Amino acid sequence: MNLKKAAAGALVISAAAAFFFLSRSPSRDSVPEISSAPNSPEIQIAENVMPAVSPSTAPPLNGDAKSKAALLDQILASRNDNDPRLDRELKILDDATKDLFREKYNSLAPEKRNERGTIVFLIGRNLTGERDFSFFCDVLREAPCFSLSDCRGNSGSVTKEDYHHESGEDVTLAYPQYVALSMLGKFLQSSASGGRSGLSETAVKTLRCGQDSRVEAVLEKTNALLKGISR
Amino acid sequence: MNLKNFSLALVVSILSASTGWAYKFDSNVPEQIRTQFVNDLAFVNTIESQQSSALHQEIFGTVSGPNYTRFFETRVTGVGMNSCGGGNAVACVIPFYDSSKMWLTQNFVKFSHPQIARLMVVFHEARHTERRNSNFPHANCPVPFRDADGKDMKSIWTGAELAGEPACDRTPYGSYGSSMIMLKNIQKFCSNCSEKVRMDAGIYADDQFKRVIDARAIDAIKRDLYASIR
Repeated sequence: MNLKKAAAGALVISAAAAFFFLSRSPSRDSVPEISSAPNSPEIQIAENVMPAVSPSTAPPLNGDAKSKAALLDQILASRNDNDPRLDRELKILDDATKDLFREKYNSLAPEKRNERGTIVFLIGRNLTGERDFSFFCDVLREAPCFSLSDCRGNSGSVTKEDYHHESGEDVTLAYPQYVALSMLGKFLQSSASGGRSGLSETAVKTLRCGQDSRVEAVLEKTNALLKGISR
Repeated sequence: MNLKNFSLALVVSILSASTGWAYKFDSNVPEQIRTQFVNDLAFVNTIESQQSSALHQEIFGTVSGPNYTRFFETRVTGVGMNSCGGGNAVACVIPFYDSSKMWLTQNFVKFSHPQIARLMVVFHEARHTERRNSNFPHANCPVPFRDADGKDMKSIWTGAELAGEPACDRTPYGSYGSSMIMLKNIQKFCSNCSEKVRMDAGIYADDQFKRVIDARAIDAIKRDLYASIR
């Protein structure tokens, strides 16, 4: 009987604790709250923050190059690399669109590594002629970007903490080149399996442009790809 | 309902009530950074897949957005602003100050990283919040520290060598290992990620792998994720 009373008592306490925690726990779906720093007013986020344009409600495009360029600008500004329109409206690019995208690439500040790399990726899915491969060669031969703040800058601001993180930063600094190599690799793989074989020689020549890079990692990746092709 | 089932239900209630706390932003986190952070994690929460590797299962469970969200939100309870030692850091955790808080720098929005690269850093740092694992400290990179071709591993932009620096891991479960396992699984198995996200996940994962230095850890990851490469 004493054991039963003790178990019942424990259950009552547990139930009280459960109700206490359940009433305090926020919903997983709630928007993150902002806690105030001392002497600062509390700020609440009134609603979930979402990209300005929802991909599902955006008007359909008519395939015009300028429309695609405008869409690209929108996606780049949103910083949402998972926008489904990258694989839909921007999957197939005609020559006029690629010309506009190349212009866009050259107009972007060199520090815009993701933006530049995205353009390389989009054109890389549509390597159909000399101008495309020539563009890729230029990308591979670009001068190194030494800092995400200023590509021309030096590494004077490097701290010990940077060693901890810098593997990701290293990649981003050479991101357009990494993307170019990745897309050339895929192109050559698909050529080897029977598609687009007429341009594979051009693609290999383009790949060799990576051997002119002053970025050691780009040079190493280029040589690794070339070695893989020659097997 | 008998007594046994009732007590079991209570235990389950208590356990579930103690998880699922959302993180809180300090009021001095600029809106642009808050927006980017929330949007990036919102993307992660949508990830779907039918497959996941064994190591991923151990660390995160299956490749799924809710699993990643749970992983993050059960480790990080607050987000604030800090210089993270200055330089080029995007985010950090300062265990001796607050083990479950993530600090962001202005570089989180200032630098043009691909989205998956930002997330790699966030999940890398989230691993450092785990006090039960001593915050997964990094190992010193070996001296000398050479790549597969025998060349010294050094910074692409400082030229400085990584040998001897606390910027490596001996375990596949540490911050470098777990974040690269997450990204490699996304590359291989995410069924609703864009082609760019999957490509980026592979690029960054392959590079992070170089920071794992123990032979057994390397072999475990290769068997788990690079089966055709030994």
